[in-house]
Amino acid sequence: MTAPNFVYVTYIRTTPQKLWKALTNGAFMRTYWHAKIQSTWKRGAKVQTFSRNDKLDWDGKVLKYHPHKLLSYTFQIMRFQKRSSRVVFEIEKMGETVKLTLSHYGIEPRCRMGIAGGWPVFFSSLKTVLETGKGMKIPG
Amino acid sequence: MSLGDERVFHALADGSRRRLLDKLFAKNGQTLGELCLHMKMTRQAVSKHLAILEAARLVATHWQGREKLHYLNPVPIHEIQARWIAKYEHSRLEALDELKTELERKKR
Repeated sequence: MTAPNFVYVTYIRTTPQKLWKALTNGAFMRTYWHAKIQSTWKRGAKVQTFSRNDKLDWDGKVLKYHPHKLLSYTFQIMRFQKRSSRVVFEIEKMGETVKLTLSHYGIEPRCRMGIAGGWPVFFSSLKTVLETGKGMKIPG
Repeated sequence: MSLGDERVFHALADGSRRRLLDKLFAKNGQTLGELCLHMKMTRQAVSKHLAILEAARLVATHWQGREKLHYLNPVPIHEIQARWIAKYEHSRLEALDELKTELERKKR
């Protein structure tokens, strides 16, 4: 197994349950991101996100789904990535905060800058909504 | 300022530590051995600097078999930036978004 292209870590003052919901529930995701995620979350099932106007943003397949602990799916942005990459979210409760680790694998070189730049914005907004209850407005 | 922010600023205040971050930016996922190359200091010194960077959460680690790989984690820096610059970024992004919507509308 190859090493990830990048590993991002953030600490959020929330519970593993709330963070899990934020990552897997489409309506909740809308409160902090321009797109909403959709899946039955069964292993092998499709994962899709739709931006405004219900346009398909990216799609992939569920690889691992261990509630409140580990979430992994493949990820391919339409018209940007030529092949699928893989994301792994790990959730770890640390007292009053939760540590969220994202490892992203298999991104083709020309897409790395763009994708690497997108995640910190996603995390900032996710953190803001979970810690303050108010989402950041992310145009998309 | 939170303890986390203080740790980030303290970590960034040292030139050698900034150089280590630059090295990871150029090539992410390096071992301690790789990071020691071309650094005019002992392995132990590099290790100490990495520990400070890890405590500041500017470096994340990932085990690849028996090797420990170090990754640049820009998230804490982004969080600090978001406090003071984000609203200006948002205005700029919103302007671009409005332009995009306008152009798409005209296309139809």
